[in-house]
Amino acid sequence: MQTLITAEEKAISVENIYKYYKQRGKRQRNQDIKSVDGVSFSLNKGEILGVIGESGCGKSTLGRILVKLEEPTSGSISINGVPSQNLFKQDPLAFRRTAQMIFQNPFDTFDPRYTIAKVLISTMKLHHIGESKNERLAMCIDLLEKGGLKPATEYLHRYPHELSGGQLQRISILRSMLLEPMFVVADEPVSMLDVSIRADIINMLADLCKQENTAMVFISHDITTTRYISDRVAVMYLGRIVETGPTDEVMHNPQHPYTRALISNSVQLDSFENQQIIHIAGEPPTPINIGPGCRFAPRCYQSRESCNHEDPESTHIGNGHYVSCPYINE
Amino acid sequence: MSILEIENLTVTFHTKDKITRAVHNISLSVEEQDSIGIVGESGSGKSTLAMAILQLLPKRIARIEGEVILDGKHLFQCTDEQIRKIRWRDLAVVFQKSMNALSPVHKIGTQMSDIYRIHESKISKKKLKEKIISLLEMVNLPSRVYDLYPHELSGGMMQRVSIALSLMHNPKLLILDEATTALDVVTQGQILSEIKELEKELNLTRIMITHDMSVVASACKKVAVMYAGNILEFGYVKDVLVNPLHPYTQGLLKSIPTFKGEKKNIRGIAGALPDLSVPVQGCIFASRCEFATDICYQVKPTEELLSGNHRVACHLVGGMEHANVNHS
Repeated sequence: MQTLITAEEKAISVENIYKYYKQRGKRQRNQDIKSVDGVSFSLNKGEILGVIGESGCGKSTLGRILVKLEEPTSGSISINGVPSQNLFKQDPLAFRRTAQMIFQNPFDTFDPRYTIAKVLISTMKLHHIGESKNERLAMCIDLLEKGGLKPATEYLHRYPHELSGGQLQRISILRSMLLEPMFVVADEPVSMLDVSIRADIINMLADLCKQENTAMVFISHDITTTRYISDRVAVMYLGRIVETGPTDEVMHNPQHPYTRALISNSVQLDSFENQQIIHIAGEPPTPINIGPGCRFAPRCYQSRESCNHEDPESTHIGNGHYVSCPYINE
Repeated sequence: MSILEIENLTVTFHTKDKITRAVHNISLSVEEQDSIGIVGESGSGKSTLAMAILQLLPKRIARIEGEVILDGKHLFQCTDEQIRKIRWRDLAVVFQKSMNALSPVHKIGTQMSDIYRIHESKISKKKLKEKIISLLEMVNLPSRVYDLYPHELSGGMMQRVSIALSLMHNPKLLILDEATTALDVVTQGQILSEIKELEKELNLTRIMITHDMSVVASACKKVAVMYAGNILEFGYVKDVLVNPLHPYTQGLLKSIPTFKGEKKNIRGIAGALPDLSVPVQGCIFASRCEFATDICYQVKPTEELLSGNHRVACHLVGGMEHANVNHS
């Protein structure tokens, strides 16, 4: 695994995160589900990391660990140089202000009995933002208009069910960003939305991050959207990052066989005529009982004997591009 | 020869206090061995169109006008019994979550055989098993799936089972309604290429309903862009996606980020779908169109036929063509 030096100015740095789920039942007692299996990365302020991979590769679990919705089995996370474990224990509220999350389904993230004004104002109250009711209300209006919901008075007194998915997702993003967090996790924020409004939400998210200098982990299985928004990408397979680097470097020059297959299989609009699909055999495996070798070996098109018992190291191939496969040049 | 002919199909839903026009005056002809993709936002009437063809809409509230002719048979004049025979034999469908239709307490093989026998009861057990296993192999499933229960399969495998089910009686026309949407990128890519292979083998004609432009780009020959119940643009994929003429198609394509080249700014289409219960006089897209002029709000554009069977319903496109003609 690559080790990255924890510097003060890193917005978030994650080292060797493991998350094993215990199974119940006699037979399965010794078979942990290795959802996240040794992930390390770090992000500068304002940097966006896209995490891509198949379903079940642990990308959502990773996101939830980063904002402490799940406890990691082991590993350390520090946000702005402060270990988040300590921060969370001392002052959970302060932790929530530094790390926020944007969820996939905007319809589920709001209390159905709260108006939009109440949703936003209760967040402010909880975190002691603003002095009086009127001040908070004025801040709400300001916030909504900044987020493209004009005129804000139209939205303030509506309930979540009276708004469309796109509008709700905007409010969900605004609610997270109003705390001015150091770092946000966006877990598939646009996959529930319609094609025609996705673009605006993505732009809004990217702009807010750049304005507020917030680092973001953008989890998605949509490769073109990830390319659009992120500065760096990490490709996950069975709980591990198999390839990471600057977005275009990884996308246009994929080295790991899994990344290659993933990218060739995700159909793109601008190259649909001469697309060569790399077939990988089998179904996405479950993270139980992973053998000693490379995780991708059973499905890999260029696997060989040694892949089955040697766990590949992550190697730097220049330009911040790391790959966990020893046979990339063949 | 065209296998499916849709003529002036209109579907309206009559509910207590309003009449919603879900599909408005659609004409489409599907040639044999064609593959047509129907794209559009949610609520644009793509699924209603498919359900109308299959006659699966609730009869109490849905009024269907127009004609659907499948292989010489006027579907709307058939009795229920005749329709039952046409479904699956001539016309099969795979829905987005058709794996939910599988019974959790029966083995895949048993369920498939039951369904097979509904349409063809005179077959020996041994032959039937062979047939089912060959169907499973056709969609790249191992034959052991025959003895498995649905919960033992992954989502992709179950979707393959439902595709195998739909191909059971060699239908002439296959409708895939978001059949690959819920699947993973890699699985989706695999299933799409499998379907393309099968098509050649089995002489299938296919209609794919999806909101994902890239699926259409990679798996279909022709594409119809639907918006609020209307087809706004129709033509070969290579024409429509490379050179979109309708402002809506252009907007849709602009909202999808590219994979290669410069990172161009993407932007969405402002506004939302119009209320379909309010009749619109002019162009249905006018309220969201950035090029809309007065005529767009007053007169409904007719479909202009351009070269290469490329049809566009937009005043601007027709106008420009006419202007060019006048000049020369």
